[in-house]
Amino acid sequence: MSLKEKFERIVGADHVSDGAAERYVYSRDMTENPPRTPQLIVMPSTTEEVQQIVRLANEERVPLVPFATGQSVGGLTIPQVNDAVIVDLKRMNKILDVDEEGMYMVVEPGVTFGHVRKYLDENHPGLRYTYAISSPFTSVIANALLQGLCDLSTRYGAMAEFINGLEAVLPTGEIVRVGSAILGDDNWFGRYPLPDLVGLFTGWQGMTGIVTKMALQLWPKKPFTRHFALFTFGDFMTTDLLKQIVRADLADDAGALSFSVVKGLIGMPAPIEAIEGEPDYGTFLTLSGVTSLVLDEKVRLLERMVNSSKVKEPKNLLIPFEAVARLMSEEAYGWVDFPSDSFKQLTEYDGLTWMGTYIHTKNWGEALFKGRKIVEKYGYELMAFLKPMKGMHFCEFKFIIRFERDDENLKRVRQCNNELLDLALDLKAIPYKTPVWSAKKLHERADPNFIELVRRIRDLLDPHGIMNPGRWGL
Amino acid sequence: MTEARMFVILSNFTNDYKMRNFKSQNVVRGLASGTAEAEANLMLDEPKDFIGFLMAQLINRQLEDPNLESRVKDWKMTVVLATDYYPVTLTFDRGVRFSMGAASDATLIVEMSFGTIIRLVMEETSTIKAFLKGEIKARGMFRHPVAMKRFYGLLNAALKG
Repeated sequence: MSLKEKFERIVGADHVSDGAAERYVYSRDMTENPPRTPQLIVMPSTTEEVQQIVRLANEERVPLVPFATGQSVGGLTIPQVNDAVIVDLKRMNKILDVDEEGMYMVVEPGVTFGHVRKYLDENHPGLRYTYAISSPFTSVIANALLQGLCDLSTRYGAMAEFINGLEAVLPTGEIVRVGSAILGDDNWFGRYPLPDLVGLFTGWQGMTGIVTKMALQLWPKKPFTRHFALFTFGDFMTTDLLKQIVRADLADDAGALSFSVVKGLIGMPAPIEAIEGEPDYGTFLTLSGVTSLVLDEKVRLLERMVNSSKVKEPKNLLIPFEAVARLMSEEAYGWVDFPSDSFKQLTEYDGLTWMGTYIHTKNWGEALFKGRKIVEKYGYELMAFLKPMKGMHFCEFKFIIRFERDDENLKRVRQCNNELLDLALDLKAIPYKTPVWSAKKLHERADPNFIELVRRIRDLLDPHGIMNPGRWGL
Repeated sequence: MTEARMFVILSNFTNDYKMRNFKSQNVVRGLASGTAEAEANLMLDEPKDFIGFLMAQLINRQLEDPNLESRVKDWKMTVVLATDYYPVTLTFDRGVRFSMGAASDATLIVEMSFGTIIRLVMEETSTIKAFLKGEIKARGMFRHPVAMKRFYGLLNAALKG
């Protein structure tokens, strides 16, 4: 019996493909990372099917690459070895439970931010989740496992912080749970006080098993919310002002964008130039309160902070979102209500990449200042995204590049990202959602004992090396 | 001219445009429409700067009103809108063209900060009040009162949507 037939016996013939078209689609993404064609794609629909797939892969020594909805930008689902089998989890798309009192949901890996938003609005309107800076089709579990950010990161940190527990199929085929649900269903309230084994799966890019369920925190919707746009000048002045605002606990979210991105949002066609005299950054701020009085007081403090900043830069400007909507059209409310779709400008061309990091707060401004010089040197549009993280305990920055995928551009983009990563590592920033080339650069500078520990854990969990081999440069 | 007299004149201009204002949800369209060539020219001239692009969109919405559009086509003047970010020049000549920088042969130079533009949009102030407070300054209005009337009315209508 062929390998394809063996997989067909597990998931059904309709859910296995070795067709050239499917293999091509799964061999690449929009980034500059080199493609590699898998031998098969299988699409399980249950944890038990995933378990059987993993057991078969162990018997046959077949490399597996987990794939949720394929919205990552970083080459993270491109196989790193030949003859890999893609395990596409998008059929596992059920929201299994929403616990109103414990404020969490239990979801499968194919559940997207769009699914969650719709489901909560229709069934639990008092609760909210979050959204990532990506398409609404992005897998909630994938973004949490990859420690990505979202519109609650300014307050709560990277999305992995929101995980209460998970269920996974280990590389050797056992089904395990971590977190409070080890005592049974309806009990996914948290990770402590236990050995925190969620960390065996977050940040590992699918090398330690296939996560089949995850419990994620939800939050009550605040009854009073206002949004603002803040236009600012200068990398250091912008980051200094954002630090003040977030440390004062005024903003639920502060997502700052290079002004070129703001111009893209209002409809300016590509390529977008940064014009001297324009603001350098536009930041979308969300403020909320349990009463209108609380909200008004936060707004007053915010206005005072922005006015104080005008001593150094008189052109800094806080703009109520009502004005943005009147100037740009009502569509602007979509940028703050569920903004994932507003980032569709990033797919203007067939190429898209970014180099993103989490960085010490003290180095944030310098990273932006020097990073923009690198992007300008290579002649790409200035598209930085930055976010204060976890109440200003750390920061995020990334430079996004949209490009046409010709050979010359691919070479230039690689060089540009390499320089950006060198700058980031010089400033001791940690790259996230790393493609292999980026992880290898991190290894060169990181404590070798840490890398060795990672290797040992990976080898312990996956003795046959079937789970996403080659990923993260291991 | 006294401030009071200026206030009356500007009020009349504003009311005049309020009457003619035509709300539209469309965003960008041809300014000097009527010919395919005119539409194409507009697209070529689409501003690459923030102020110019924004103003072009706002003015285009007003020009959805065919009566206003037909009047604007007959205007011949050059207006510099000098913001605290940078100046843009609006050239009215069988349509409107935007360019960055200040034209040296401007008919009018209107100075206002982007913050004032936002306050006008939010209706926290009016063009009259802003003018009287010195938040809007205009050079050339005494020599070109008709041009001032035209631009002032168009701007007022554009910012109020």
